[in-house]
Amino acid sequence: MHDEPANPRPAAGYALAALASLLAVLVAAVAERLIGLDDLSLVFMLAVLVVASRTRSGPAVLTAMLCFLAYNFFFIEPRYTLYISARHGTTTVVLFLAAALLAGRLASRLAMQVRELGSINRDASVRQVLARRLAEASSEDEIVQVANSVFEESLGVRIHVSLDHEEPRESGAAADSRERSQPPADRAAASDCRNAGQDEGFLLELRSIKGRLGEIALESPLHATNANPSRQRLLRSMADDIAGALLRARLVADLQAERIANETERLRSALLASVSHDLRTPLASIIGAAESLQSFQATLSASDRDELLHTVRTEGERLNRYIQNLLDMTRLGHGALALRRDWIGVDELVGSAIARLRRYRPDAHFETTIGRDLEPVWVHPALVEQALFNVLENAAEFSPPGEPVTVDARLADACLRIEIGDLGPGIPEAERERVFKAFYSARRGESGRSGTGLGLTICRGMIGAHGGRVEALPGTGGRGTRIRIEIPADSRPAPSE
Amino acid sequence: MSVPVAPTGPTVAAPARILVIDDELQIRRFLDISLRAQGYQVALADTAGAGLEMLATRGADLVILDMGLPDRDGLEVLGELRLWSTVPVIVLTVRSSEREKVAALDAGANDYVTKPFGVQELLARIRALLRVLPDGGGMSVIFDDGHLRIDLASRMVSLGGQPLALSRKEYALLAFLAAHAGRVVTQPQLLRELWGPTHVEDTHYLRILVAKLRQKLSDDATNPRWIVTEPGVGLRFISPD
Repeated sequence: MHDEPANPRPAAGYALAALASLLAVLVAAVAERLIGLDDLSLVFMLAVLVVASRTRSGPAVLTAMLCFLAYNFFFIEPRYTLYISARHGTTTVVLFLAAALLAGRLASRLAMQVRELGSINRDASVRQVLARRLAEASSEDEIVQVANSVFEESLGVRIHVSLDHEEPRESGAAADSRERSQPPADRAAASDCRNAGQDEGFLLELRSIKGRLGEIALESPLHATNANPSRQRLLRSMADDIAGALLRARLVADLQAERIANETERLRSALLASVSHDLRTPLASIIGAAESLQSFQATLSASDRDELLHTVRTEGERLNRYIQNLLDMTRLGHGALALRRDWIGVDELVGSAIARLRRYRPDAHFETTIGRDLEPVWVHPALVEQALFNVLENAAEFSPPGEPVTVDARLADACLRIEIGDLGPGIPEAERERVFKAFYSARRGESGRSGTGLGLTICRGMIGAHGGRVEALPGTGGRGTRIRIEIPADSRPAPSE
Repeated sequence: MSVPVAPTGPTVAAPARILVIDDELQIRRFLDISLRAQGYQVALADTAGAGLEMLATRGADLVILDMGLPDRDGLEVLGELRLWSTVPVIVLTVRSSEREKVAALDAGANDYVTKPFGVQELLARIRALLRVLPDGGGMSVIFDDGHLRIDLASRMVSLGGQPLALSRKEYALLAFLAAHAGRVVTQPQLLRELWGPTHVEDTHYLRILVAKLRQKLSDDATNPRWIVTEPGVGLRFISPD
C-alpha cells in the first residue's frame, strides 16, 4: 500500500488537499441530509487524516484550514457565512482546527516513518540479493558480473567496475586487455561515465582491509538519489560488500596458485627422480652391453654375444615405453587430449594391446573372455588401447611366471567393464588408491620393480577423458590384483543411418 | 659409410632398389646394413630435397621416408612425390599418434612403421609392398595357408577344406584385405570400396562386418590369425611370410 513514490511532488499533495476538502463537503452534506448525522466534524477530520497520511505536513495543514473554513461556512449556523452565532459552535470549530492540525502532523510523521522503514527494507533486501549472489561468485570476473547485474536489476543503475592490480607490470597488461576486450562504444561510455563521475562525485571506491581494490563508476547521474543520504549509504555499503567479495576471491586464488605451484614442484622433483633412476637404468645396460660387444667381440661366445644383443634390444624398448609414458603424461597434464571417437570392437582393442605387449614379453600368458553380446564401442581407439596396454603391462610385470593374466570384458550397469587380473602379490588395501598417483612406484624407488610409476596414472587419465573410471580391487579368490576399467556405454550416438 | 647407388640395368633378377630418406645417421646406417643383408640395393638420402632428386634421377622400387625431415614436412614431400611417381612408400613416424599415420596414408603412403621399429617388422612391410599385386588375369587363388583358401575366380572361400558361406559384403571385405595382404588398409579405403564414397564415415558398418567375418572364420580378435586391427587406422591381413 506504500507504493507511492518516496518523494511525492508537492503540487500533487496540495491538489490532493483541495480534492479531499471538496469531497469532505459533499460527503458531509449527503450524511446530513440522508442519514441525519449531527457531528459532521468527524467527516472533515477523516479527510485531514487521509491527506496527512499520504502527503507531508504542508498539504495536511492546508487540508485542516480548508476543512475548517468549509465546515464553518456550510454546516455551522448561520450557514453560508463565516460568522458563528452560538458559543458552542465557536468552540467546536476551534477545537476541530486544533485537532485537525495535530492529527495531520502525527499522521504525516507516521507516514514518513513507514516510508523510511520501507526504503530501509528495500535497501536491506537489495543488499541481501547482492550478498547471496556474491557468495556464489568465485572469480573476480564473476563478481564484477554480479555487481553489474545487481546494480542494474535492483537499482536500475548501470555501472562500470574497474579493478586495480597489485603488480604494476601486470596491472598495465590486465587493464589494457580489459579495455581492449570491451567494444569501443562501451569503452567510450565507460570513460565518459568515469569523467562525469569524477566531476560530480559518482565514483565509489572499492576499499578493503588490504587497501583500495578498484572503483565503481555509476553511469547515470542519479540526481534525486544523490541528494538522498540513505541511498548514498546503500551504494557505499554495496561497494563495501563487493570489495569484500573481491578480496575473498583474491585470497582464494592466491591460495590455489600456491597449492598448484607446490604440486607442480613436487611432480617436477618426482619426475627428475624418475628420469634419473628409471631412464638411466636401461641406458646403463645398453651402453654396457654395447661396449662389451665392441671390446670383447673376438673372445665372446656366440650365446654371450646374443645375450648382450638381446639386452640392448629389450632395454632399448623399455626406454621407449618410458618415454612414451612421459609424453602421454604431458599430453594428459596439458589437457591437450582431444578425443577422436570412432567405432571399435572391444575384442579388437584387447587384441591390439596384447599383440603389442607380446613383442616385449613373449613369455606372458593371457586368458581373455569377451562377452559375446558386446557391441562395438564409441571411443578414441588409440587411447583406450594404450590404457589397456598399461594395465596389461603392469599385470604381466607382477604375474608369477607361468600364471596367466586374465582379461574379462562385459556389459555391466550400462558400462563397458573390463577387468584385468593377475595372480601376483596383490596391493594392500591402503595402497589401492595410491597406485594411481603419479610416480607411485618410483617413490618406492629401490624395491627393484621397473616402471616410471605412470602407467596406471595415464590409464586413469585416458579412461577419465571418456567419462569412465579405473579402480584397483583384490584379485578374484583373494589372490593378486584386479584392475577394473569402466567406460559408460550410453555416450554412444546411434549408429549413423 | 656411404654406399654408392649402383647403376643397374632393368634385368628381371635385379635386386629391388630401396631409397631411404632419413636425416638420422644411426637409422640410415642400420637400415643400410640390414637391407643389404636381405639382398636389396640401398640408396641413402639425408634430406627431402636430396631424396626426391635421387628418386627422380635414378628411380627406386620402394621408398622409406621419414616424416620428420629437417628441410620439409613429410606430408608435403609425400604430396609432391605422388605428383609424378607411384613408387610404394613406407613412412617412418616417430610419434605413435594414429592421426599422423592416417594423414600419411591419406597423402599417398602405402604403409607405415612407428619409430622405434623392429627390422623384421619393416622387412615384412617391404616384402608385402614389393610383391606383385594379383591382377584380374593373374593368379586366381590369392591366399592359401592350408587352412584358409581364398579363390577369386570361383569366389570360393574355404576353411579347413569346407566351403564357407559368406555374404556378398563379407566376401568383398575378405578378398580386398587378402589382395593387400601384409599391408594396412585404412577404414575410409574399405568403406569406399565396400559401400561407396558416401559412406566413408560410417565406421560402425565396418565394425559389425568385421566382427561377423571374424566369427565365420573363427578368427579371434584378441589373438588374430588373419585379420589384425590397427586401432584408429584400419585393418591388416596377416601376410603368410
